[in-house]
Amino acid sequence: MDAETREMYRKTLGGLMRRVGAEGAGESDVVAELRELGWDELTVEEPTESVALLFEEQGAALVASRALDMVVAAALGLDDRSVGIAYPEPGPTNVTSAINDDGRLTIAGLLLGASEAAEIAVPAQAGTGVVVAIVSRGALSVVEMEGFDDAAGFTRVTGVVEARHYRLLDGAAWAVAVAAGRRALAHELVGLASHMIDRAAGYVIEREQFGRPLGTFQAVQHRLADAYTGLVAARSVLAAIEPDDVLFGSLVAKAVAGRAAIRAAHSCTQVTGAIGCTWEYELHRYLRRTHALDALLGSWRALRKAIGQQMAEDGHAARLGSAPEGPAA
Amino acid sequence: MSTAAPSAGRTELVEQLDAWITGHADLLEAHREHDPRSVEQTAENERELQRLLFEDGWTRWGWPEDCGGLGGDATNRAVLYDRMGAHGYVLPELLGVVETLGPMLIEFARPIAQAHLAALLRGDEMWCQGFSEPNAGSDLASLRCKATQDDDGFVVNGQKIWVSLGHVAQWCVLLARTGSQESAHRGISMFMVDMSLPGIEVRPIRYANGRNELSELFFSDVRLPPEALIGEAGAGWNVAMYLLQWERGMYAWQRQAWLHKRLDDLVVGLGSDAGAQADRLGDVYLDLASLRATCARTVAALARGESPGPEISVDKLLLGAGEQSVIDAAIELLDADMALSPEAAGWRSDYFYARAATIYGGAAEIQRGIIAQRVLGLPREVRSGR
Repeated sequence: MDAETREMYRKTLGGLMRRVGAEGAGESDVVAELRELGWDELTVEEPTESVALLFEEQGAALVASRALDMVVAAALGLDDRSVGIAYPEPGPTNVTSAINDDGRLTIAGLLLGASEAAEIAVPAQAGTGVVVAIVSRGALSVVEMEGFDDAAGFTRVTGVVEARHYRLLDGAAWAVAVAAGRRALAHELVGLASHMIDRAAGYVIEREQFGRPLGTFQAVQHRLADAYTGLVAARSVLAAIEPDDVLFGSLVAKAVAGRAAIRAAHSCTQVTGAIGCTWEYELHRYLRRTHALDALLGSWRALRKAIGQQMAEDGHAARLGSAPEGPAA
Repeated sequence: MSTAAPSAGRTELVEQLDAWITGHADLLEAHREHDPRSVEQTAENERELQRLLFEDGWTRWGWPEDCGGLGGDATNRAVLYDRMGAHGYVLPELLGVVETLGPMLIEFARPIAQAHLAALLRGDEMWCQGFSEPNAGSDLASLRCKATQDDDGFVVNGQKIWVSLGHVAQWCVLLARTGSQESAHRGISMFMVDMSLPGIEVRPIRYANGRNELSELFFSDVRLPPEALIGEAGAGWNVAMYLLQWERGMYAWQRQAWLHKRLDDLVVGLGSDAGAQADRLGDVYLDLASLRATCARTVAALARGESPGPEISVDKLLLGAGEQSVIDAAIELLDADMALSPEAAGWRSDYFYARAATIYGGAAEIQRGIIAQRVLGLPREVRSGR
């Protein structure tokens, strides 16, 4: 994608996201609008850049949508991209639903939105492997929940489904879907961090104390410079994911992005002082979303541990991405 | 003899290089660590490695043919640095100097590059970089070492400090003031100085790790010919800024290869305890992956002829963070060995080098200021005392 085309898509997607963000939750169907804009064709032509643009803009505008379901469903090879996904609950285990020995499916997971989807894809432990089962939305009960970010639109669901009431998705690789989801979430975390840093920079440029803008103080400058450095690192790691190493690359990218976004959120809160800690100021909403998205599909701390364990097992560290390619390549 | 050429595909080059490294395991075995005892010994040991890499063509890729190279762009060099680390070997320390000074000479003083680059790559010459002064370190634009132009060339008077390899180098790339002191960064020029010229005194400085890593140089009426000038007179600041891009981009890429190797060493050193330290190892990995991915992008941009601008300070910060992350983890996790074992001399030496990683080439505080002011648009600090 050339720079001009990318800018055009960024404007379109950014405009959509800002409008939806201003309208508030539930007013627009982001996924339906994306489809109308030709999203499906774009993802075929530009599978990585389209996701990068969409999720960075979604993060920056603090929009909660089912765009992640769309990406994960595509990675599962589902033709019907409107299928909802029962994401594993945050925690130490990779999946939180399971198929028991008697064939019954026990579901514990999170949906994005109340989910108008008729069908839900459920990753479930089956023996030593993970399978993906398709159940009807009606088979799930909603559990009351309260979390860091109620506006993120997560719904906790549970259910027990008899073998005859679900079907297994053929050839679906949950690991591949997780990688696609992590990559999208990492971009969204980058979008959140980028927005927070821009806003905090704007604030310290304007706000004066001791007869000078706050942004002239080194202590303030250095915190924001560190936040920005983390943001660049997250973008670089995302760009370094190679097609034949997406599972590991996406894992590292989400860990780097989650860590960078949480650190950025803390630094931005610090430099905006008391106002940044109020309900009225937008920052806490970004801070909440950062934690919510970090928790989904593996928090940066969980992923960090997984990387360390892999290293201990291999006896050496994997190199992320290959050496840079020259202009002739 | 070399079988590879930069025109070959990337995969082919990596395969051939890997095969060469594996095939030369016996010769490379002596090069798994820099000699922790002395810079002089390191230089001596690594000269053999440099010669071997040059003779078989590997350090010649990515450099122009008229300067002793085999053609191709800078990313070819990046492959070599990466694969050496991946196989667990050092890069000769001199190759760090090559990456800092080589591209600058090719851009601003091609005849000098044509005359000297091959000798440097091959290990026949050593170069150093005379930039900092006792009162001009991170505040480089206030440097005072003076180069006065006359009919025969330039006469240099002044002092330089923190010069890596200064006492063993035959050539020094020198920043000196050709304008008035008030001209600040506008009155500075860059020179290539023959260290055997009369009037140059060199004193090694013993660094905290016990090695003579650094030197101070004293210049008293040192006469330089006109062709010693690199670039235009008065344009030395621009030349230095060009050079710094390579120091912050490609040197950082070299270091990431070494630091990943050091992380491998740490995992091996921990043995069956590694799993219990998974969180810490993972943390280090995130720092190194951040460094690697970011300087890979910078090197690719440099190879395309682009100037990354103030954003490159990010690479420098990530390098400092990466150095300290892996070495500090090793010092803490291998604590008993660290304190007492002779085998850990290399780690202890690296520990002191890691302290300097956030100081040399513009302290981390300076880089943060550049990012805040020139990337994020924050106002300049309130200056006092000037």
